[in-house]
Amino acid sequence: MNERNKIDKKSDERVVEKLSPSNEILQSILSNMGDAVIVADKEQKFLVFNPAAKQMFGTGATSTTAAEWSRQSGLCLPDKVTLYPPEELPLARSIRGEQIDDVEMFVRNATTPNGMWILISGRPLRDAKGEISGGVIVCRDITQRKKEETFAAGQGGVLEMIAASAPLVDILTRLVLLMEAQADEMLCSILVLSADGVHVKHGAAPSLPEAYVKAVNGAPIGPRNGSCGTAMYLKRPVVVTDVMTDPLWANYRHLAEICGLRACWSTPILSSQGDVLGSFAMYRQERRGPNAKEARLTEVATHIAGIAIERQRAQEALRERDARINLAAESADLAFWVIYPEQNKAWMSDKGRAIYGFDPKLPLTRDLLFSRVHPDERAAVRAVFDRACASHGIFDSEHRLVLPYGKKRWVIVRGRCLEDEHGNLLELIGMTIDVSAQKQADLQLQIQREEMEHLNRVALMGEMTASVAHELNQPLTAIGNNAAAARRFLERGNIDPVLLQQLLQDMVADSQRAGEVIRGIRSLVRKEKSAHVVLNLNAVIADTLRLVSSDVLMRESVVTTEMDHNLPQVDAAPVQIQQVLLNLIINALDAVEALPPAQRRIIITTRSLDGESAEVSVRDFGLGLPKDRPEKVFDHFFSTKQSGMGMGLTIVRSIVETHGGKISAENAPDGGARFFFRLPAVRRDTKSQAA
Amino acid sequence: MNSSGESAEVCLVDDDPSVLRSMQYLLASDGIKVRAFNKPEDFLAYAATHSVSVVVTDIWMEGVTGLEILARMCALSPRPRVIVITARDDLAARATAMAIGPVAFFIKPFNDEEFLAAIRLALSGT
Repeated sequence: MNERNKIDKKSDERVVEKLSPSNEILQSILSNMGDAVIVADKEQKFLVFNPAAKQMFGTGATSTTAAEWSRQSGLCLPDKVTLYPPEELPLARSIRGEQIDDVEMFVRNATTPNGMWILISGRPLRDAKGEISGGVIVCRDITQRKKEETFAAGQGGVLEMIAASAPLVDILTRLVLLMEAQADEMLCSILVLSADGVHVKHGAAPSLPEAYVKAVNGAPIGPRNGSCGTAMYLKRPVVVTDVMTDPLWANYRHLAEICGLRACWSTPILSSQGDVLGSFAMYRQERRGPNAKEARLTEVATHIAGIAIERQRAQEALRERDARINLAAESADLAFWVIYPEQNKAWMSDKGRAIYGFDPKLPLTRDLLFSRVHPDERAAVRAVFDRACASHGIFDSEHRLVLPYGKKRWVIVRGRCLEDEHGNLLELIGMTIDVSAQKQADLQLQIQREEMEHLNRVALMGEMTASVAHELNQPLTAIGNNAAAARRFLERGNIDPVLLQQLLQDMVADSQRAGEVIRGIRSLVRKEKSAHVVLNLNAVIADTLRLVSSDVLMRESVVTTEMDHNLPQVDAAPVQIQQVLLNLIINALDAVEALPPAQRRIIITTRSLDGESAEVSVRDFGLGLPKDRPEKVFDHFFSTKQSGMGMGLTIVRSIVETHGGKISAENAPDGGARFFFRLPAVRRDTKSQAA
Repeated sequence: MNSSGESAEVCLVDDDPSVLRSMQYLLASDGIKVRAFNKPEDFLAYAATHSVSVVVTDIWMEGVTGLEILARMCALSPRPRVIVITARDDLAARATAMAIGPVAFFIKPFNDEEFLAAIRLALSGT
């Protein structure tokens, strides 16, 4: 070995001799520069090994051969463990004529126990004839840069986890491990403050003893609760250089001693609003305070932890709100939806998909939603939607849906447009309420009411048999007589053409009269609802009285009228008003039936109530209404009669009320009952239009 | 209208003008002399001062009913023969009419031959 050293020394001197005479400045540069410079001859024998190179690769490096160099100096590939193959070393490659730029190498040997990253560039050396005579490499220590890159990459990894909504525990653990890797023999922990703002929860402490972690979990914060509890309580960093003596650690001292912890510096983690979310702590096994690097690490750690915890809280709040909304929606048959008009995309809650009959996995579009609207209403709904989109306003519609297999639903849909910060239409959010059940019930009720009304009219016709027979038989009799007379005159052969014409004219007139009667009856017993028109109630009363005249006559009763000729007109269905009057008149006829004929009187009066409404009253002189509660007569199935359903007045009230009117009943002071109903007058503009 | 002169006239009482006129034509076509009353009161006034042999009356009329006319006819002497025509087959009215004793009872609309036969029978006095 000694022998060999001597030889190396000699050859070193020879090389330096070769170079130095030409330039002493060069030698000085080589000796003083921070980068390692190594020159070798064609046989890979080192010719130059400057002081920086010696420091980098360990003393005695010059005594080795290039083949042994990797093993002796601990030269590794970037994986930090595999020794560099001697033939692949940058120096070897440059001697072979390659030009090497920026090759990274990891070096770990006795002089650099923690390892060192170096960046190498190499060039071949050529003699005057251009033949390769050796190679030169320059190595630069990039350990610090590498560490910073690793740290930055580590932070990036943690932020990526946050963005990907990884579990909070995983994120914080990764963050703590990253911090611990930045300094030797440092332990870190993160505690999270509970929603109650008083108790702490374990966040991450992968390197602290489990017993210690368990003891801290659930502890309250306060002015003397260790470093972390106090930091969170005071909302500022708490540096305890010696937990064995610091009063803040009085309660945890024993535990710290067992775990071998001596110093603990804790900093509160704050939200963007400045609320305490938790704490980040560094532990040391020696008594001291944090240095500048540790302070910077703390800053980074609390910032990232703050983002992670705040985001997780926001997501939790969102999930909780979602769950609440969903619960409310499920129970109220409510669907939520969002339509992105520009992209023709849509989202819908599970309940919504059920209401609209969409498969849970089916991707939704605006057009798909519209395809569910009943074809008859689709264009109208689309127009309302487009209007809302154009004006960035609200959307409000009640329409039918047609689901696959023809199932129909009634829905009420309400929505509003949302804009981005530039005022552009972003989306339309809204909800859909399934009102099919209500609609069905309403419809059923409507049908029932109409059927009852119809039944009542048919029953009324039964009550008026005398009038019906009379009204029809009169014209038929006249026609029959006239026809028989004409035939007889013709048989006798002496017919006067003027007379014949008179007979035929009468027959035509009477057949028309019979037709009118039939039409009147038909309209009364017809099932369909009649249309509303502007009516004069006085005229309707006169028509109705004509209809019942025979019955009045046969019951030996008298109906007198006192009409107000300034009665305002009303907007009503004539048949229904006639039905109301017939019910009241027939009831009145029934009420006076038991009286002697001279007392069988009924008075129908009309009057204007300040021109605002028209009032009709039907008054009889019978026994009157139930004394306790006259209004009882309007109840279902109330009847004092042997026959009848007791539905007449109920129906009467329903008709008056659907006309926006009111009906009442009272006992007249001088005996008998008085029924009166009021209908609102048509507004002047409507009236003039009708006139 | 051709009237035979010797035959007695028939009084018609009906408050329906078109029915009344059609009966006038029908009786005229058979050569029967007719005196028509649109108001029952007018007939009663006429009957009080004139001799009436045959009356055709409706039952249900405004003011005075056919039953009242029947009752009044019973009080006259010689008692006029009464033919009742009604638009409605009302049992009570028919029973009352029969009790008072009309010659015939017709439900409107009626057969012209039967009606005229009843009137001729009434005019013949048998």
